[in-house]
Amino acid sequence: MAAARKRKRSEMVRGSNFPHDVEITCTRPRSLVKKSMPSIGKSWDRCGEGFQDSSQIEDDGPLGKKLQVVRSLTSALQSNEADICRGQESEEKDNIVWSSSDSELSDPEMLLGNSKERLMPKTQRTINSYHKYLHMINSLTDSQMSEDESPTIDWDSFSDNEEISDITQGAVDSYLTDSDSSTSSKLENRKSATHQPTKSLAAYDISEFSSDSESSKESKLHEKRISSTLQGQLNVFSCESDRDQTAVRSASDWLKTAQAFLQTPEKQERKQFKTPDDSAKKKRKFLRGGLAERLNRLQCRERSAIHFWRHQTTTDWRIPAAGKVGVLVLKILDLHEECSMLVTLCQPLIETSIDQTGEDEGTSTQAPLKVLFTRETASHLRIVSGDLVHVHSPWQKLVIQDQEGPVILCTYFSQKILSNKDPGTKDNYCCPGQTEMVRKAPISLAMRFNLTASKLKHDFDCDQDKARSAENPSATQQESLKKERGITHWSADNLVWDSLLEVIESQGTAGWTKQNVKVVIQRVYCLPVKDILHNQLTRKDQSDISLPSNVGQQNARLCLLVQDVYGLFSEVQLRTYSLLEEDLQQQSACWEGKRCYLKGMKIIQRTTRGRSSGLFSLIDSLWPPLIPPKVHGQSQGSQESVGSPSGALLPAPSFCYVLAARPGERGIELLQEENGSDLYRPTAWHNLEHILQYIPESHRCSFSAEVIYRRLQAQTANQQISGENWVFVTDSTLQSSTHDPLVPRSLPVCVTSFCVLCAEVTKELNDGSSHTLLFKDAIVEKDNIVCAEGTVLSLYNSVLDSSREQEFSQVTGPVTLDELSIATKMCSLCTVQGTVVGVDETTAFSWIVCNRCGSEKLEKKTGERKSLYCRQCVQPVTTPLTKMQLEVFLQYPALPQSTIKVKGYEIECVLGKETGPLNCYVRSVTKQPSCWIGLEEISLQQASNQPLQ
Amino acid sequence: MSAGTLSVIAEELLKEVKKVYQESSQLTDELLLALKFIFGSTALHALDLVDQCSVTLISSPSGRTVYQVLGSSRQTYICLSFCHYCSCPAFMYSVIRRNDNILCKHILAAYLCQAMGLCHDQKVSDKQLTSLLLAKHNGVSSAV
Repeated sequence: MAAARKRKRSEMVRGSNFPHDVEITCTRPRSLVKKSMPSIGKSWDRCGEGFQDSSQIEDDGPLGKKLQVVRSLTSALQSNEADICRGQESEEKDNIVWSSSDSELSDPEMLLGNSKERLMPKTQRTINSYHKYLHMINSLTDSQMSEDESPTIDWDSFSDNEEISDITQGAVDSYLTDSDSSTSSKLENRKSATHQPTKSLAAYDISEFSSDSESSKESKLHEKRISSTLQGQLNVFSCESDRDQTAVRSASDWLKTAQAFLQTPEKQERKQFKTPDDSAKKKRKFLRGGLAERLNRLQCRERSAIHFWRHQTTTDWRIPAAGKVGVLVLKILDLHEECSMLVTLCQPLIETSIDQTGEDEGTSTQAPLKVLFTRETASHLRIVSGDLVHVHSPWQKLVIQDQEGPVILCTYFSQKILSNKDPGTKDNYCCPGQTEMVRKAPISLAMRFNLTASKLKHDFDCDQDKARSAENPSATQQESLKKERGITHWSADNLVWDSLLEVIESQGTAGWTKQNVKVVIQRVYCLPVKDILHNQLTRKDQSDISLPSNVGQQNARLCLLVQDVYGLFSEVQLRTYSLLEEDLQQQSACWEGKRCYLKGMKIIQRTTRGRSSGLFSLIDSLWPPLIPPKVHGQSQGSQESVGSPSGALLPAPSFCYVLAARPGERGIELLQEENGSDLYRPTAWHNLEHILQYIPESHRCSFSAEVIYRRLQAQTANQQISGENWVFVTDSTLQSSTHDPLVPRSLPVCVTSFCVLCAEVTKELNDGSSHTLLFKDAIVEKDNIVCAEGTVLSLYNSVLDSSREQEFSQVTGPVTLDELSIATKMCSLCTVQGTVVGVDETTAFSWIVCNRCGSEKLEKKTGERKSLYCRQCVQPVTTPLTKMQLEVFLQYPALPQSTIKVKGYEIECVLGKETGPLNCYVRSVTKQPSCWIGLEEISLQQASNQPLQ
Repeated sequence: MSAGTLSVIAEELLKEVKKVYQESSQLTDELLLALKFIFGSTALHALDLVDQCSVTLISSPSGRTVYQVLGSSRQTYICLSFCHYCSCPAFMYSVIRRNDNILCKHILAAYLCQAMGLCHDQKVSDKQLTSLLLAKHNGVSSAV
C-alpha cells in the first residue's frame, strides 16, 4: 500500500520530467561540463535568489537568509524525498532530480538527522504544497499536450530548486523561518564557499542534465554539480564570466538554454483557470515525432527562455553586451511594420568586434542590415527609429538571393540600450511616449501577385537607398536622425492612394512624404492666420475669443476642403495668402471641383465635430456625396448591392484631418483633367426668400444679396472694424411685392472674424454705397445669417458671373423695409412713421461740422476771432453746420400702447408734427412690463448708380 | 526593402527548407524556429498539416494545378498554386482584412509540402478540376 503510493508519487514526479528531448538542447560538448562545473553553484545561487536582486550580492546579510531559505527548503525536500525514494533510488534517481541535491551537503545523512527532527512538520507542508504544484503542472501540461510528449517544465537539473524557491518562496519563507537557526552551520559552510576565489564560468551546460536516461553518467554529473553548488558565487552574469567563456557561449545563450527547462509559474497558474472546454480544445495532438511536435517543443523552450532572459535583463540592466560574440549592436535607421513584423533597417555599429565574429560573418559587413522583430518584441522594447539595440544570440541570419545584406531573424533576445547610461532607468521603460509605430498599409493583392510594376520600382528604390547608405553610413544615420521618426519609407512610394484614412493610418500621425493621395477639392476659402493658431487650441469656443480684425488683416491662409472617394474630408491649409494682392475668386475658380494629389503632407490636427463645429457645418453642407462613396473593406460589387444610391443612410463624417504641406513640398498637384470630379458638389445658390423659408438653422447657404446697411459694433479710431461686423442685406425676392409677408424684407448678416474678407470686399463695404455681394457657404441662424469659417464673400462680378445672371437678379428701385410692427425684432431694420409726442431733452446735444466735407474735426484758430479750421479740407470754415441729436418719442398708430423712442440725427420735425417714414435700426425691443422700442435713424447705403432719394 | 520584405524572406526560407530537406530529409531546429519567427503560430499549424500529410496537389491534363489542403477541422480548402490564395476564412480575415499574416496555414503547408516533396499527387480531369474550383467548400470535399 505504502509502496504503491510511493510509486505513484514518484511517477507523478517522473511525469513532470522531460524524458527524451535531449536531441534539441543538449548539443554542447561534454568536455564543457567539467570546465564549467565550479560556476554551476554560483548560477544556482543566483537562481535561488529568485532574481530578486540584480546587484552583485555579497555572501552575507539578507542574502544569507535567503540562501538559507532556499537551502533549507531543498534540504527539507530531500528529507521527504529520501523517504519516498529510498529503495527505488537506482530506478528513479534520474527522475527525481532534486533529490540528488541532498548531496549538497557533504553529509546528507547528518543533515537529515538535523533537520528531520525540528523541521519535519513544517517542511512536510512545504513538500505537500510543492507536490500540489507539481500535480497541477502535470495536469495542465497533460491536458495541453500529448501524453507522450513532455511538457515544457523540466524538473531536472537545478531548475526545480529554482522553481521551488520562486513559487513557494512566500509560503516557504514562513515555514522555514525557524530553520535559519538550525542551518546556521550550513551558512558557515556557505560563507567559506563564497569566499573562495571564483572562476566564474557560466553554468550553461546545465542542460546536460536534462533527463537523459544515462543515469550513471548523470548521477556523476549531479555529484559534480552539487559539489560545485557549495562554491556558489552569485554573480554568474557578470561581464567577466561572460568574457571568460566567450569562446564557447554567451551568457544569454546560457540563459536561454537554462530557461528552456523553466516555465514561468504564473503562466501555468493562469492556464489552470481555463474552462475544461478550453483545454479540451487545446488538447491538440501533434503527430508524434512530427515537425509540429518538434517545433512546439522548441517554441515552448524559446518562449520560456525569452521570459527568463527578459527577466534577467530587466533586473540586471548592466549586462554587458557590446563586444561580445554573437551580440549585434545595431542602430535602427528606419522601420516599418509589415503584417505583424517590424521590419527595420539597421546600421551595425563598429563596436561589434569584427575579428571575433568567426561564426557571424554577417556582422562584419558594415552595410545596413535588415533586422526583423516580432511585434511582441518591438512593443516590449518600444523600438523607434534611432534606437540602439543589442541583439543577443541566438539570432539567425538569412541570406537572400539577389539582395545584398542578410536578414536577421529570431531577434527575441534584444535589448534596447539607452544612450545616456542612466543607472536608474531600465532600458525597457525609457521613452514612454514613443510607442508610435508606423504600420505599413496592407500590400495590395495586385502587388503581391506581381500584377503591378511597382515591385520592380521598389526594389530599385531600395537598392538606390542601400547604395547610398553603404557609401556613407554616417550620413545616412544623420539623415535618419533628422527624419521625423520613421516617416520615410521605401514602401509604397509614389503610389497613388485613394484613401486618406489608409495613408494616415499607415504612415502614422506625422504625415506622409511620398505618397500621392487623390482627392477632390470641394471648397476653397481663407482662414485668418491668427485663428489657425488659435483654432487648434480652442476651436470649439468661438465666443470668448478676442477676435482679430478680419478686415485689417494683410494675411490669411488659403485652405482647401478636400474629400477622398471614401468620403473622408480634410482641410488642407495650403499657404499664406495675401488678401491685398490675391483674388480668392480666381483661386477658387482654378481649384474648386478639381481632382488633385496631396503629397508631402503633415497632419496638424485630427478634429471632431465637437471641436470644430464650423468646419463640420461646412462638411455637412457637402454631405452626402453626390455619388455613393466607397466603403473601406468592401468591394465595389458588394457596395452596389448594399449601398443606397441616395446616400441618405450614410452617417456623416465624425472626424476630419487638418493637413498642411510639409516644408519644401508643394503639397498639391492638380490633375489635368477636362472634366471635374463626380464627387464634387458645386455650390447651390439660392435666393434669400428660399433660404429663409426652407433652409433649416445651422445649415450652410449661398446667395447673392445687396448690402443696404452696415453696422459697426465697435469702431476704432482708424475706421477699422474689430470683432463682428454686421451688414444688412436684401435681394430681389425679398423686395418683390409678391413675397411672403412673414419673410422679412431685409436680413442681418454677421461677418465673424473667422470669415476672412479680401481687400476688394472690404473696400466696397467701407465706401458707403450699396453693392451686390456673393455669400458662399454662410450659415443660417435664427433671424440672421452668419459668415464663419469657410464662408467666402466676394463681389458680384457681372462679367464673371454672366452665366448666373438669372439667378442673381439685382434689386431695382428703392429698397423698402418692413414697417415697424409688434413682430419687429431687435437688431433689424424697419421703417417708422409717426407723430412726435415728446423729446428726451436729457440726451439731446448738438455739434458743428464742416459745411464742405461734413467732418467733425474742426479746430478753433487761435488768434483770429471765431474762425474755424477744418483739418480734413485744410481750409478755414466760415459757415459751419450745426448738427444735433435728438431722441424723440413717437406715437405710432400701429402700436398705440408702445413707447417708441427714435434716436435721430437729422430729425427736422418737432413736437406734434408727423415724421417719416424713417429708416431705422431697431436698437432695443422690450415687451415687459410695457412695450418699449428703441430705434435709431439710419441712412441706407445707396447703390452708386441709383439717384439719391 | 520592398513592400514585400516578408514575402521575399518567406520565399527564401522555403528555398532553404527545400535545400535542407533534400540534403538530410529533416529540418533543422534553426529552420523551424525561423519559420516560427516569420509566420508565427501559422508555422506550427502548417507543420502539423505537413505531418498529417494533408496536402494534395491536384492536377489536370490542361496543366492546371491546385493544392487541396485538408484542414484541422476536416474541411478541405483550395489553395491556388499560381497565385497566393486560399479559400479558408483565416485567409480572408487574417491575410486580406487584417493583414496580420502574409499567409494562412494551408498555403504555408502547401508551400512546405511542395518544398519537401510531401504532396500527394492526384490527377483529375479538366472538368473535375473546374468543378473543384467552382464548388463551394462542401462540394469540394465531396468532389474529390
